[in-house]
Amino acid sequence: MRLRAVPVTLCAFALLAVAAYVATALGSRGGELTLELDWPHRLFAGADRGLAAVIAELRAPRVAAAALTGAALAVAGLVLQGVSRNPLADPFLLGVSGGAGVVVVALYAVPSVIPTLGWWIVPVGAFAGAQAATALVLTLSRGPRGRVTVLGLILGGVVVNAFCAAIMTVLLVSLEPLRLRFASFWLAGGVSSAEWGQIAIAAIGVGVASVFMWARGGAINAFGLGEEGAGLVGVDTRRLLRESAWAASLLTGLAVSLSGMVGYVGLIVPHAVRLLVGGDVRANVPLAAASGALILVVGDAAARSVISPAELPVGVLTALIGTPILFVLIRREMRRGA
Amino acid sequence: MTLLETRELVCGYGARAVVDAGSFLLEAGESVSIIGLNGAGKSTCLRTICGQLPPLAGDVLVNGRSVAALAPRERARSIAFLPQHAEIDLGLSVEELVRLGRTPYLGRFGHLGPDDARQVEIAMELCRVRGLRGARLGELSGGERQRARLAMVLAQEAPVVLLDEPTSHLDVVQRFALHGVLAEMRERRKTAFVIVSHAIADAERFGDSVILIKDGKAGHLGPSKRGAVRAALVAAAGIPEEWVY
Amino acid sequence: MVRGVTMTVGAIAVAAWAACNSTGEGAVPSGSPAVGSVRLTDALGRTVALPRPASRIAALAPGFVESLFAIGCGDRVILRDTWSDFPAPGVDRIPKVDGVQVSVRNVAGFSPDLAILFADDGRNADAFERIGVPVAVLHPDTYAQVAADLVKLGALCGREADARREAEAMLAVRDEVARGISASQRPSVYVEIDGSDPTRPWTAGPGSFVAELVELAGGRNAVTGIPGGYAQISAESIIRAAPDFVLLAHDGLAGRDAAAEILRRRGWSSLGAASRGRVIADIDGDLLSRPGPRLADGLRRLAAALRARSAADGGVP
Repeated sequence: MRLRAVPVTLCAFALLAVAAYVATALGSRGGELTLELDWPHRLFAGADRGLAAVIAELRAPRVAAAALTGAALAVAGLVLQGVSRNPLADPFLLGVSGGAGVVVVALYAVPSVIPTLGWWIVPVGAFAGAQAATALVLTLSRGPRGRVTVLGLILGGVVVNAFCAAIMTVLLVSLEPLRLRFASFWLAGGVSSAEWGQIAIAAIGVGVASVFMWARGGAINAFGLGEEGAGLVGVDTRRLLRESAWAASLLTGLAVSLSGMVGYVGLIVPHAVRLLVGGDVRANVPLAAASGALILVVGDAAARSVISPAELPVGVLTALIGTPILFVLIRREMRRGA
Repeated sequence: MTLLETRELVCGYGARAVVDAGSFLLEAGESVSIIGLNGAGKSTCLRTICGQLPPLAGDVLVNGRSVAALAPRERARSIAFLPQHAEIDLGLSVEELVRLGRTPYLGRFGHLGPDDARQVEIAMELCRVRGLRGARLGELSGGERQRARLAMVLAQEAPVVLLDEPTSHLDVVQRFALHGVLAEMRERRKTAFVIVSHAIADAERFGDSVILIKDGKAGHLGPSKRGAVRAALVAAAGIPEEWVY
Repeated sequence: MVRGVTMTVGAIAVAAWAACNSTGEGAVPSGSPAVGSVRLTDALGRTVALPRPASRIAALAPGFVESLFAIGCGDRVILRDTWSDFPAPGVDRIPKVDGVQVSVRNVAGFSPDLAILFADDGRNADAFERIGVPVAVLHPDTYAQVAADLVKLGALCGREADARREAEAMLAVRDEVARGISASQRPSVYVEIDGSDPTRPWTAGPGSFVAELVELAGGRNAVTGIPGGYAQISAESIIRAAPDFVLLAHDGLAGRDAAAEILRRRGWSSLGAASRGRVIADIDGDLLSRPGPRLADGLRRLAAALRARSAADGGVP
């Protein structure tokens, strides 16, 4: 049974608000978990200024970053799956993961760069690497007469990712074992380093890109007729493909700069959304954003709780949470079809 | 009023000319059938007329404006093309497919209005697929699917419609139904048609005039009269008459 | 008279010989086959048998290189791993190879008569044996084990007596420090292995040398429940645990006012240890984590730091 998009979207936003509230209440001390459900009070009127600082400067930004990351990845995946009609399209296809990963591993490889310049160099570097990789993909994927095609994008992305992976391997091997571990954990994805300035910038970027793709959603739907078919109903496919690639790359680059490489969200959330409410890309953008945000807020809360005080890379959890959900949804679909 | 005009049109790919289509006019409510053997270049012609391929020489004009100069949106509102094969997502429902025909009319924020919804209803009604609106394309028969595709083309509201082998996989009843729709479109909206077809009888019955493409040249056979097209094709193909039907 | 002298000399010689061959924690069985041969059991339970002490040693971990130099066998080391940098300049002349991804063939190319590996699962050891290079796998993971393995290293290179002395010195430091600890007051210590990302720093747990040194020096880890040796934790965990001390086991804040830098970190402004100047930043990380004799230095300095600052405020609050 297909549900209607609007009520489901409102529901998702409501759930997101609840999850964000609870996630901000979740803390840890030494080796134990704590739950301060009255955190707004403690934040503004509480006597423990230290705790207030922890909530305002560490916990809240982390929850915000998780939400933004999830939203960005989900929308990017939705857009890419929409233009490519490929259910395996993932935001990291456009070379983003390779580009970001190479830059970050390189930063870890040169000792004392990060401590000297400050942690900010990592998110900025990740973002820059992501965009550079996408530019490379777009150049490589240019077909005859300079046309950008979906197939070209996918192939170009595969090539760039493979190339970056090779460089990363060389760099990783040169790292001291402990630094190797640090770099690997960053690569595995972990929310929490962002601070409000970075979050504000990311929020603007994610917001603008999402609204932009929401407006393009109707045209993206036309890709259901194939690339040529979309052209026949008035879509400037070359331009739309380029715009979609850049928007997806921007969204994914921002996500990676906030939280490292968090996989599965960009792949699974669009699927789940489509299975629930159908394939209208335009209607699905807000729902995908809310769902992605929800999943990652919950995932991050879990990542810092399951083996507390140690933290699990959230990318591991997104795989664990996301895969069974996808399984269930696909089975529903298969049963409906039969 | 002249809707569609070709001027010394030469169709082809890159440097290779395939068909010298010459010049012809099409008025509102008129239709022309293009016939010829496989590989003659009929589809190439259609694709050049609708703007998918750039003309190697000459020009195509719609309502007096050159098709090549139109933005994709404008072009889609003026000329609609139903290709023979299309990689359509078979998971789409009929209604979703027909709605895609309104893509050239999307608002600035990608939305469709009540007028668009009405056009979709009209199109589905005309093509008799309203009852199938929720069905997935993959679940329909060949004929139903073709009618759904035609509904989408209809929803585009373009005054010129190009059809490439619209009845090729349809049985007799389905063909008849399809032609009924085309006739209604011609009647109600004065749509001009360019139809490529192997069905000679359809060409004779439906088309106002016929163009035969042979050896890279398009020859205007003039108004279609019973038997005239057959005769021309026999001459062109060099096979016995009984075999041309 | 001559017979008496000869018998005395002979008795002394026998006694000396017996002493030299006495068993220690290296399981050198009495009645060894030949004088000067070495036979011991390594960390994997394998028997390492050498006809004579090794003189061309490939020591593939920093701890081994340091230890060998400390007991006077530095001149027998012909190959080291990339991270071995102490003692400079002694090690500089020694060629380096990768000690993590060990290339058996590469190492064998240097014609060692013994390869010492750190924490191998047996694969590399088997490979070395197959090509005829004797190999010993050692994996000390506690202070006491480092001392014990020092003795094994000494046996392997023929300076067992010196090694024993060094080992006993290490244990003596430990015991001396233990005597100075007041059992009732164990300050909590937050150990920072890496603070590049101050919202998710890396800390050490049981299974790491530095955490053990903290215990031996009279402190306790501020964060409990860490799985394994190292883990990344949320800054919040530490801040709210309000540790008494911060121990920086890295040099990321070198040359700067460490305490002030820590307070400047987002969310760390309430860290009492930093505002009270209880940040220990001047102990070289290697002294706290390399399995070698310098752990004793690290222990001593750590204990002194904990004691000094506690005393300065009149005790741990």
